[in-house]
Amino acid sequence: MKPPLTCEHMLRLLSSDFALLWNCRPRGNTLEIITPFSTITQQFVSVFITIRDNEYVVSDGGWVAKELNLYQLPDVEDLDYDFQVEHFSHSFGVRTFTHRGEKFFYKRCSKPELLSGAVYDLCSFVCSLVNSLSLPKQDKQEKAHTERFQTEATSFLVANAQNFHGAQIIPRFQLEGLQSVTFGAAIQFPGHLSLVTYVTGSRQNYFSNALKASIVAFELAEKSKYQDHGMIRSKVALLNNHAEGYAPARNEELMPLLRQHGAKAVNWTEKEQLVPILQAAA
Amino acid sequence: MNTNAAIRHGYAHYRILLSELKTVPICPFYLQPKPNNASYLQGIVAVVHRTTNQNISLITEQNASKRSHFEIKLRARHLCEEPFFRFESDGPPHHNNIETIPLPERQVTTPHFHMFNEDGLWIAYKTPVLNDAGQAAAIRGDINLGLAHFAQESNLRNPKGGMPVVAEPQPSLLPQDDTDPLAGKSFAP
Repeated sequence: MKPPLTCEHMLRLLSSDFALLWNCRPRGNTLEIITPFSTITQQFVSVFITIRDNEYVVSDGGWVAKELNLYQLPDVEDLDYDFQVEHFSHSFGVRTFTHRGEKFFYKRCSKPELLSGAVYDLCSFVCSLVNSLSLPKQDKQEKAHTERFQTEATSFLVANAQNFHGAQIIPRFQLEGLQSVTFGAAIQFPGHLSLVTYVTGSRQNYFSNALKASIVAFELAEKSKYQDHGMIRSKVALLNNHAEGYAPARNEELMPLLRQHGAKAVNWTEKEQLVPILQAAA
Repeated sequence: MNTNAAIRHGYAHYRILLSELKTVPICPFYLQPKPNNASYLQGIVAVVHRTTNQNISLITEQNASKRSHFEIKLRARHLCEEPFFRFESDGPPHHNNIETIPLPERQVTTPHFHMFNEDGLWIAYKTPVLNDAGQAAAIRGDINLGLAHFAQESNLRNPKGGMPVVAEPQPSLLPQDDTDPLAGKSFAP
């Protein structure tokens, strides 16, 4: 039978279930406290409480360090690891103690009423660090490459703004109701707009993926209320044919799909063609 | 959450790998310093499985200074890169992150076993032996007791039908349960 939906009943149900996740294991002069905090590596966080110099010390027990790695961290570069440790240590006021090659993260507190806060901070630190280091890394090179081309292409459009008769250039444009796709830019004329996608990639598969994303974006735009109302006049895919991932033969089958959705492809080396195409819409 | 697609697709084969009799021809086998991590000792030995000729390994790792920290695992790279069955003597509890399990039951303390469910999710569980505090403490204190229980659970034997045995490189100094990880550390500010 379901408990009634009152604050009293809900709090009782939730707090009693959460409370069952707290456990304790004596380890010599130290207590291991198993907490309800858990990481995306599917581990519950344990903290270790002991007393030094009449103060409580709350520590990770050396379990986070790469050598012991009991939270199942993936292989991470030292630079990334050190950077994130520094960042989260600062955020949660956690200090580091090294003893014969073992590294511990800890907080000290003198009053019992401050102990929960120290445990809370240390658990938050462990979760944040483990989760952050466990995230799959986006290919940094690709990200930088894409951003560079976005900047160059948008700068080109902005530099030609006077040819668009006062139209507004909006970079990284999303159509209302179509949040899943982002266009490289939109040229917004009074009463209608032109859409431009930027297609690039530092490797062939990235380039193909960008082209596929571009086709999907134009297809969705074509089915949107904007097309129904005749508001979209031109669609252009701007292909970065300088990119290392540019391989026309590999994308032969995709190009007709682009045209099927009324989009034109313009190479970056022929970007001047963009202006008349977009102007024609004005 | 992360699931293992290879296990999910080959789950029938996975169950056979786990349940059918397997043999460790080298008995006892030895632990040596683990390459790239001086904190651990490691022993890797081949396992013979009667239904497949593919390579299967038994991997045993023990913390060099905290002897009650050890892991025993089985790996079959033709199936997947990560181990397909694992025992952990110590460390943080595992979170069986499954929505249909009530929250308090999702936490599985160490020592525990890990195996994949049919969705390819890595789940932890305890046997009745591990649920018994006395027996669990004895297993944490003796890697060979841990290995014997692992062998029982995964149907692993030595060529004579007995349990596999690991020979430690030196007499066990103090493989005590619940050693204090903070002993001797001053945490001087």
